[in-house]
Amino acid sequence: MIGYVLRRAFFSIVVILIAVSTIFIVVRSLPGNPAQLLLGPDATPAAIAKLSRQMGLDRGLLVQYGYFIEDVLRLNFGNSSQFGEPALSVVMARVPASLELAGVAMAMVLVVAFVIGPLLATRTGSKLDHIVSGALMFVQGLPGFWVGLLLLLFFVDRFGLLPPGGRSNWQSFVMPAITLGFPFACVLARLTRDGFVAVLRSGYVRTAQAKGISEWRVLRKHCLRNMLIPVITVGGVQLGMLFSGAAIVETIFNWPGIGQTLLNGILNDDYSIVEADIFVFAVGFVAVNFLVDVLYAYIDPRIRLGRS
Amino acid sequence: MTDPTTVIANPAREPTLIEVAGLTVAGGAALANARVLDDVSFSIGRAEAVALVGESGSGKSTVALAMLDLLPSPALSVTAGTIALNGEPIVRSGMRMPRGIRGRRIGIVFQDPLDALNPTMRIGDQVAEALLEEGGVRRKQAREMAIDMLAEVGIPQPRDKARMYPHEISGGQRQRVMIAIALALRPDLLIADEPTTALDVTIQRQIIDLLLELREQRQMALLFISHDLPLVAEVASRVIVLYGGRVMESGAVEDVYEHPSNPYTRGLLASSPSYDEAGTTAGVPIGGVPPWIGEQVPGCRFNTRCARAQSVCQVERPVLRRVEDGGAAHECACHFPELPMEVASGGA
Amino acid sequence: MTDEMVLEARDVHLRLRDRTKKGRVRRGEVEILAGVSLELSRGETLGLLGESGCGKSTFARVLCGLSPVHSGAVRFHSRVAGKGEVSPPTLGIQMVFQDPYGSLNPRRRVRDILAEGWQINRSLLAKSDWEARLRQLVTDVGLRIEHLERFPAALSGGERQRVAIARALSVNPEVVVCDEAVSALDASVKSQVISLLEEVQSRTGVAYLFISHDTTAVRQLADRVAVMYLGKIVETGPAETVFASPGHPYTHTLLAAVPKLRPWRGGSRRPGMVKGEIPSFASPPSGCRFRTRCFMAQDVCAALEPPETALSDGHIAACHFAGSAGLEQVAVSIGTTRRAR
Repeated sequence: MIGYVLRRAFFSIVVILIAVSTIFIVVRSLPGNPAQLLLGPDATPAAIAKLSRQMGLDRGLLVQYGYFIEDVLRLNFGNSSQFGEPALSVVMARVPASLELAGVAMAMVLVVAFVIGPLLATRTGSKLDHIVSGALMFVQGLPGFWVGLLLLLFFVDRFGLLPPGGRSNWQSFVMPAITLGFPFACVLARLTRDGFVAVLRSGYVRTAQAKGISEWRVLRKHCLRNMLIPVITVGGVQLGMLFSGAAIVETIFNWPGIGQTLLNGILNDDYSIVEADIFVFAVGFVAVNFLVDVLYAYIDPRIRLGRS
Repeated sequence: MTDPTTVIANPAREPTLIEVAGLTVAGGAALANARVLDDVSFSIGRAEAVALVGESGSGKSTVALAMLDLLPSPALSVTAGTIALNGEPIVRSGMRMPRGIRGRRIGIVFQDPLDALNPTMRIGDQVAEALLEEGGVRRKQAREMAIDMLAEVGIPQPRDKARMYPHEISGGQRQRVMIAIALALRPDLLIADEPTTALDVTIQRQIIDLLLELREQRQMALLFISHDLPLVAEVASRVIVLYGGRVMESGAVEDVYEHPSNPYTRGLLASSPSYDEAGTTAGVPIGGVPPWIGEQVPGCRFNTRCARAQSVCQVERPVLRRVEDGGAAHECACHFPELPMEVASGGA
Repeated sequence: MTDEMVLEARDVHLRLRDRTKKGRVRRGEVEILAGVSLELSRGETLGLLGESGCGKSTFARVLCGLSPVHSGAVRFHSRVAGKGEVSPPTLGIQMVFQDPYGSLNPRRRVRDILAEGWQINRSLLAKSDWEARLRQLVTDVGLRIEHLERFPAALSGGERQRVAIARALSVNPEVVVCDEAVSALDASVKSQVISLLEEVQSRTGVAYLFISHDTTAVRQLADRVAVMYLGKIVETGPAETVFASPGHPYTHTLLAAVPKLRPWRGGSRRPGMVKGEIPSFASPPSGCRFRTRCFMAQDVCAALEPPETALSDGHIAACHFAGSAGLEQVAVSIGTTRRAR
């Protein structure tokens, strides 16, 4: 187990390094002086010259990369040109809002999946199964922004039931969470259904029943754990995506999270923010995947102990 | 209720433990509501070893599942007949199996132990689980009893193995674990559904020896289901031959194997090659293919492949009747059973 | 080495990396084949008898050019593959696999499956001859012309295995390796397919390497037999001789374990003869590999690897007690040998 965890941790760091290096390459590829880009359109020539030296722009690419990595390790992304404050602090201040939204969306996804999934699994092949599965596939394909706008139209414009945007009371969570989470809910519901069906048909469930243990115990001890394996695999990746992929949803609903911050940074040429934001995205996504991998190994001993 | 000319199927030589009477299991729409089992009757005595023999598609595994109310409904369900344990009905159409039978009175070992064991649960826990359900047993006690059970089925270092997962041990050991689970509550009947098909011949020998030894020790009844005729001969004292969900022939193993009266049984025996003092006899396969399960056949299901078939065989289903074979009698369902006088070989 | 020999393996060793310990890849290697030597002559059937985990499937892959060897050599006619080389794939050696459901492409019709060899090797058969040859192949294996249009899903296990055999024969090989080709089939289908294999051999003169754990099946088909245990061949000889009077205790154990159809007719048996389970390749027993389960095991067995003892013409067994009176006594008591010849 320890070896597995260490290996996963090592590769996680490698992935973050690659993501960060991509930032480096992108900023260097843009037209213009990187230092100028980072400082923004209002920067003084003196400031640009100073930053250029600090970044090593007069030296070779490898030196620049070295300075860059050093900055990253020190969590120094420069100051935001929009806010004049350290870019990373600006981004980090917005992380809680994104986490909250991702958390609520994930909770909704799980509830939907674990209610619909077993429901359909116990009625495989029935009309209900066909209708609901088809509906799930259809809904999954709907564009997120369209659904978001539709919700706005319906709940705010027509009926004024929910606040139009921004993060305030619990009602303000509803529409963004639904818009963010609905495609994942559909996928996970179908996955849960299939996983449940496979488990119900399996040999070991039959053995458990043959032992004479109660149906409830069979469900709890035998079905649940084995069903979770495929669900966690996909669900875990989805969680990472929920956190990192909320840019559009946050923009539609004016949600003060890191997705909105990223978009604004791009629109305002605030490259320090962009760098810092991408870094936080990458770390968040990788961290979630790492935790899921560890959880996965804990649940499935075949992964943990290796096949013999 | 019963026709006076039909004999009670397979009177057991000992007090009857299990009585299967007219068991009929039908499939759902996918199988055209066909009868996977059609009026199957037999009995098992208190400490008897009975074998159910048939090829794939004969319905033999369905009997095992039906006996434990484990039929995958709605795909398969009991539509007629009953199964009784010590006179009390435990399986009947529309009735759920009463509590306290599964695991407690009847245990079962399935064919593929890798599939039948939970891959994410430790072996010791899987054995202990059966014990815990009994009630009145504490967790720690159940764990110790599970280790004892593992030792009893011949698993080396049972304490260490109890902490392992199914994929970490060998196929033979997995099957021993299955046996430990099935026997944990000391049931009166053990059903073994093709328990050694997935195993090598030396491991098979070990498992069979283990089953027979345990049966002897506990004076337990055994229902041994297999397609392997020689194996059946070494395990059981009585055999029931199934084809297309119907009983073709039944009786003491020695009688049925030495004087088979049903052409199917005869063909089945002839298809097994044999090596003995007389030399080597190659197997002669039965021509043709078995009918598809969903196919309704009004007469005898074997008539399309039977050399002795005549027009009545296509129309009227034969009933199980007593057949004299020069030794103890046994039962055969055939319009034209082959009687010993006609047989060229045979006899020790 | 005679002119008649088509396929030969000399002292083949094969090692694999050991991944068994808790998911870590160990530095060490595990030897799967520890010096296997075999010869196969034109038109003969050599049975390779062994249980799961003895390395026989690995050996089959080596012969067919699917795995390189670490030392030793595999020779097919004039082509030799030595250390580190993969035996060059050749049309002369074809294989029939165990799983009738997995070895046929479910998306192709039977005719396309059978014609694939000719598609890849255009020089084998002129396209204009394909149709006739397909029909012949299909009837040769006991199927009907209509079967050519079917997909594997519409065929039974026995029928699929016939297709697999036809496929192997489509390129006119000299050797067909049957790797547990009948093990997954029902008893009556099994005997049908074995008859088919016999018939094909008498018609085409193809040689078989028939790999199986089923002594009964091997007994029916094989002219010569090699018995394999834990990566080594422990006994070789003419099939009749090996089965009537085995030379190695493992062979005795195998034969004694096979159930008899009519046990009441005599032939005693000693219960508890089969001890333990096959050891792992990672730590094979010292000296004789079979000694941990052998009813004849003595101190010498742990100390020395048993020499190959010639028992009669072409019959060899690797055991310290091969041919001894003690072994014969035990063999008679368990019924695997008849009393004094």
